[in-house]
Amino acid sequence: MRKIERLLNLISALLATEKPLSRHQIRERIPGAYTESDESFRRSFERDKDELRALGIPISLERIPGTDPPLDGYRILKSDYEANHPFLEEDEIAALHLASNLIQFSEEDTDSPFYKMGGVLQEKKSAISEIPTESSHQTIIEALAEHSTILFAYKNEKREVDPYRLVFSQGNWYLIAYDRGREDIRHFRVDRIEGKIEITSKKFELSDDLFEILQEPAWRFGEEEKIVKFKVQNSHATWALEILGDKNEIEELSDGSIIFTELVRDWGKFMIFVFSFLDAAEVLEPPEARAAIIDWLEALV
Amino acid sequence: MSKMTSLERIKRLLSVLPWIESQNGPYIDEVVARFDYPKQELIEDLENVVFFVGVYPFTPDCLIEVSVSDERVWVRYADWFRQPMKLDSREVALLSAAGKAVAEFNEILHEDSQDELTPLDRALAKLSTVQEDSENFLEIKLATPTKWLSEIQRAVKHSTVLEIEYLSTSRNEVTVRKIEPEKIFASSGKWYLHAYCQKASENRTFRLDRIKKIKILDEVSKTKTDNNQLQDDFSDLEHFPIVLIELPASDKHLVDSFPGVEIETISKEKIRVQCHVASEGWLKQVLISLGGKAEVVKIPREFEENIRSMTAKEILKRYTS
Repeated sequence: MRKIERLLNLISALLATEKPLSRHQIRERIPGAYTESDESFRRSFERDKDELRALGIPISLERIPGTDPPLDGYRILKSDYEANHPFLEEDEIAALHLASNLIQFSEEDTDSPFYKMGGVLQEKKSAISEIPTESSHQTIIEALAEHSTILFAYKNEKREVDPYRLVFSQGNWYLIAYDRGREDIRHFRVDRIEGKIEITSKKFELSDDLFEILQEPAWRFGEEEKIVKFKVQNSHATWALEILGDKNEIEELSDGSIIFTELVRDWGKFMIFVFSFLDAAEVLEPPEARAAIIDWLEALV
Repeated sequence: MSKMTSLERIKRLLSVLPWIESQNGPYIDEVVARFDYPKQELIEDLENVVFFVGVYPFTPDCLIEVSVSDERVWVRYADWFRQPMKLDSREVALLSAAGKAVAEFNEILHEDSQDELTPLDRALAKLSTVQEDSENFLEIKLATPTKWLSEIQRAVKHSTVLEIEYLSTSRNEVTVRKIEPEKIFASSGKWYLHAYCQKASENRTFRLDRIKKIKILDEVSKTKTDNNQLQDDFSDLEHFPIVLIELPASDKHLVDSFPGVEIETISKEKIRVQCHVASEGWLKQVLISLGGKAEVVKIPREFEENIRSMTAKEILKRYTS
């Protein structure tokens, strides 16, 4: 029996059964699929099972009722497998399809959900933006879906965080999360998470003021704390105001330039922001921040 | 399309079978188009694979029935394949995020439009019911919304000439110029505009957030958009000169998001970065931001060889004078 036929029959057997099936029952119920010796049957069955799970097919392992000694068996629960999304009209699917073409996620099978919705009769459009994705996002999305606390290493430290949202902004993915150890919200660069992300059994509640938190510039999140005063000259003042907002303390000088006061939690990011003004901005306080800028620049002269 | 693997075919078939069954003998060509399933392979898989799929004890009533005739196809008795697979949380999250980003984009472009829900709004509302909160898991900030976006989009559409006050970082001054807008695109969180600049007599790329003021002129663009050139939003980057920089490998994240960047690993500690320079101002910012650990290997001929130290000196003047 060819592989594709064997796997489709395996899915059929597991979907159609009421009770979980033991490995040997499966072998009996698909005659001709696994004709090898017991040992190599076990191996090919394991491989088939793994491959199907990798396709997203939810094969569950459960105790078979009434077995003594207890025996585990496999099945695919209809409630885990079958689509339960509301019916989408053709024009709705087409609109989603267009959106998913315009925002292209790399490394991502973006067609698969549309096949599940019955396919689309529509030409593909070229993307207006290309968004990189990685496999670690899968773990984070799972944790987001289940409101599970996660563990990972970041800047050489173990972090225990409640993931709130995964945001793609300015070319990078950020995880916005409540850091349990630091008792505060933090932004984590996903590509700088070290090693594996572990999902724990702890659950959390979402905070209400999340939306406001998400709108802030990135240097307002981090491990440091520095009150920085900086001056932006007249020609660039509107630009700076647009980025920083006017809810912070500002001081307008007679020549039209503005002095901003910012709470900086990530100096590296803030410095890049200041340099985007080139010589139209100047850090005034604190002295060590001013000195850091001068040192940085002198190294380049 | 290249040949699909057995696993790809299986996954595709799990969507194809329920759909065919739900229709009254659809045309094979429609199945091919909807599911990107090459026709030969589809017919082969339906007639010679699915035909042999069933459940124990595989008597004729336990097998899926497939019939193909007159370019149409029927699937019957596939009770356990009545429904396609669930959309998983990742799919819902990515679809919602893309949909929302585009919806927001549309909103900016058509701020004066009706209150009626668009098909995209309806689709997003339906997706949000699949899983609690799933539409909020992911967010794509396409680019910071800019106030001129809708005006400029309209100008692109109607080939209207605009007069803009543009903050040119290369000279660090506001210049007034007439432009013929051609295309808007987003990259690395910023909106850009391709336009023919009458002042420079050539095509230029402008950052929308640097446009301070805009005047819509009663004048229609004379230059015709060269569609071939603009087909790919990012391809035109290649026309810009190239800068080569060597960086400590640990600073890779600083350059990851540059448009069209190419990163080459030289050694464990070092990477070589090649990127296109769209403006002198941008180059200055990059060179300053990367700092002294970055080694400038090659500066494009268009710019001063010592642009980095000159810029550093200019900024230092503010601190020392």
